[in-house]
Amino acid sequence: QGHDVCELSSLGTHHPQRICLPRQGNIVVYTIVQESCYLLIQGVPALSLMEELVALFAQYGAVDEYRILHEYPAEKFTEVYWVKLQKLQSARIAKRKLDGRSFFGGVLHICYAPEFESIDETRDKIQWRQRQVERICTKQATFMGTFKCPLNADALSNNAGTDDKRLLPAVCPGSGRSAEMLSCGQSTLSKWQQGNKTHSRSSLARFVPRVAALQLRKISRDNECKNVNVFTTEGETVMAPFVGPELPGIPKTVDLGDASLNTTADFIRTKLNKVNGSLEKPVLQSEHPSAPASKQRRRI
Amino acid sequence: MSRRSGPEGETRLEYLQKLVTEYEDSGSADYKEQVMANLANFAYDPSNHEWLLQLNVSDLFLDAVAEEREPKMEFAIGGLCNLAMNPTARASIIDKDGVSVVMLCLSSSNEETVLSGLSTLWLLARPGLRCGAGSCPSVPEAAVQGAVRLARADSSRVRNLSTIFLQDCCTSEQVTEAEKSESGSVVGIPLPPATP
Repeated sequence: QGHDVCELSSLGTHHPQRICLPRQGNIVVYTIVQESCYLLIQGVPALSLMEELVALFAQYGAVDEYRILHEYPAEKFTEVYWVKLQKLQSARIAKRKLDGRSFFGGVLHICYAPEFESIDETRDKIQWRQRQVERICTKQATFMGTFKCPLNADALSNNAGTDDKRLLPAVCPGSGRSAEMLSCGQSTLSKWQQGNKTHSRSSLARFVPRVAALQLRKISRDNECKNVNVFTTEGETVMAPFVGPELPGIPKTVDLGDASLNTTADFIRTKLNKVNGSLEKPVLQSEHPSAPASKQRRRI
Repeated sequence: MSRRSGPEGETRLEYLQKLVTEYEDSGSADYKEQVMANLANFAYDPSNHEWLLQLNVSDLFLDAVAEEREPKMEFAIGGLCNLAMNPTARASIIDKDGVSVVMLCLSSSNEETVLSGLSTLWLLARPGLRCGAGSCPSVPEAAVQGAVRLARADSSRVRNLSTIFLQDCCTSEQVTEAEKSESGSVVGIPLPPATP
């Protein structure tokens, strides 16, 4: 289900005040996942400044929607605004330019609010970014005449001569840089390329390959599996490595806070286990003698 | 761009090389984290990708993810997520068995790690995305199961991204299979076996 703007009304209850990591002096790595065209603006003085605020954001791009979040916890005499810009690019610039800026006596604090995105919006966002990067890379590769993986320097030197002839006409004539390159002629280009290549080769990676580390890890993982296998009952297959969050299970012993209640609970639990065990085994053995009793099932 | 100089007149490649060297040589975990975050943020800008790939920074990220130590894991998977936007980088990550390493992120308790991990997996396993010479890897069963569990998370961001991953990168058979094995291990009292 898409979690859209309509969720806003219930926001106060199940959306605790967002902890803004950059503000606490923490390091943040920005990826497209954190960015969003939805912005939350905190610290706006409560002076009904809706129009002024929207005008401020409109400088950086078209504003799609906006509203005050009354339910959102805010500091005294300030309001929290919710703004959706049409383009991610404009949201990015607006955040950079306006975060920390003073506004009618308050200091604006702007965060991305990707939790308001619907599934499709999130997908479009990542796809857009991926296409954008691909476009830039293609352009760059055309410019440098290196269409192949730059890691593979040998393959590159073999192909470079033929490649740039083919690629040169594909350069977008719109950008000033490529026009300049077209005019400078092929001889200079290849000279420049050679310089570039030798430069990159001389300083090529000194990073240790990780194959050895990976193999070690694999061996230790295999050993672990073997060890587990020793203790599992016969017929049970080895569990696949567990990925993802664990669902809450029923704890083995629950303290009910009362001695007699605890003993009763224990009694019921052992009885249930016994009943389960006696039900399962005979049926499976008598009906399907060949089928292994390997159904993986969490113990209670 | 390659000639653009840094603070001491060095090129970008030299600067990045210095960062990598500092990362390897430094003994302080704090400092390593900072450098890792720096490198990951450099990976945001596609114009740095070529140099980062030359310096094998994708390996460095993969290793740090495999270490499973927060917050370095979060920074490293962020860097991988940034780098995986680039088709060349994607191919090299896939070559190095990146899918099984990135899968580790799905078990993390850190939401940002899970999110970056999901989107990196999406980028690596999305059929139809240009992945260099090799074809896109298939998604391991454990990753599908992890995503199925994550699709029920409280956070709408995790829910959205895992749904996108399941829709775009996994076949419907894979998803139903994962859901089936999920319901097989439902917590609570197991149903008595059906009598024929």
